[in-house]
Amino acid sequence: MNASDIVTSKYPSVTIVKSLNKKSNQVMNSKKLARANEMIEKHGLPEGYEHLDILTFKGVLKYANAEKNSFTIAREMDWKEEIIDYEITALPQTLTDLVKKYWGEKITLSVKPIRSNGEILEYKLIETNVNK
Amino acid sequence: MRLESYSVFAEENLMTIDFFSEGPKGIIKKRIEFQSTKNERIFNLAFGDVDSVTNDFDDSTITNNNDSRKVLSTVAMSVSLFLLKYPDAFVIAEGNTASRTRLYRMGISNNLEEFSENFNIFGFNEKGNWVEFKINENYSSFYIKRK
Repeated sequence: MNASDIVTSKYPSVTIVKSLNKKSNQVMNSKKLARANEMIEKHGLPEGYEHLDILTFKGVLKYANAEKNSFTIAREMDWKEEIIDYEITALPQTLTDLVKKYWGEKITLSVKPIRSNGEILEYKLIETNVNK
Repeated sequence: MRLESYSVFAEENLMTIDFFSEGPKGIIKKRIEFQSTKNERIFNLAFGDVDSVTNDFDDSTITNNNDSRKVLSTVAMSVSLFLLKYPDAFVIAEGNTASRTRLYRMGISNNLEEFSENFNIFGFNEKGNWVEFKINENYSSFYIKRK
């Protein structure tokens, strides 16, 4: 690290630099992140923070099935693309509109998981955004 | 009492923090990462050695350099800094092995006095509930949140 890389030092014992030469073990670190995501999805947040228990799924919307209350997105998970079906609580018309409006687009769906004993019963659709 | 910790290097967003452990095995570069998760408010704590040749970072590797207290104190300080910058965020520390879980529990316990002034700490217990962290209790995962 050169002196010219240093931007500022705003906290004691912390030197802020322009860039750390980063590289990570994608396979190992992704496994670890997947475990954390599983924990977050299954068990949410502690009592008192339930209102912040909102999950976001980002990806390209491929398909939505109004009868099954499910949608399919090609989700960008870290270093690979993953096709996943989710069942969400939404009016069939909402799902139809979702596909009409956003098919093939990169979207972010914000959903609230409804759980029972660590099992997710359903996802309640909170918000849909198109990724710019 | 603030425990001794290493000086750290970070990018402006504090998502990645590096420091150098010094001990009998020499100088070892270590990295702390706060990784985005499915919940935009929750960041996963990843921590491990950086390979000196490839600069590859592996969360599963930590070399014991006879300075574990100082290293854990540095990780704790880094979590504090991150949560001061992002006051609405939660940091989740997920032990993928029993030894890693013990390490996190030790890190929190050692720094609990200082931590609890500004942060709420929760542990995931054997009954499958998130509860307030207590020393000498067993937990598999931890949440840290600014008060």
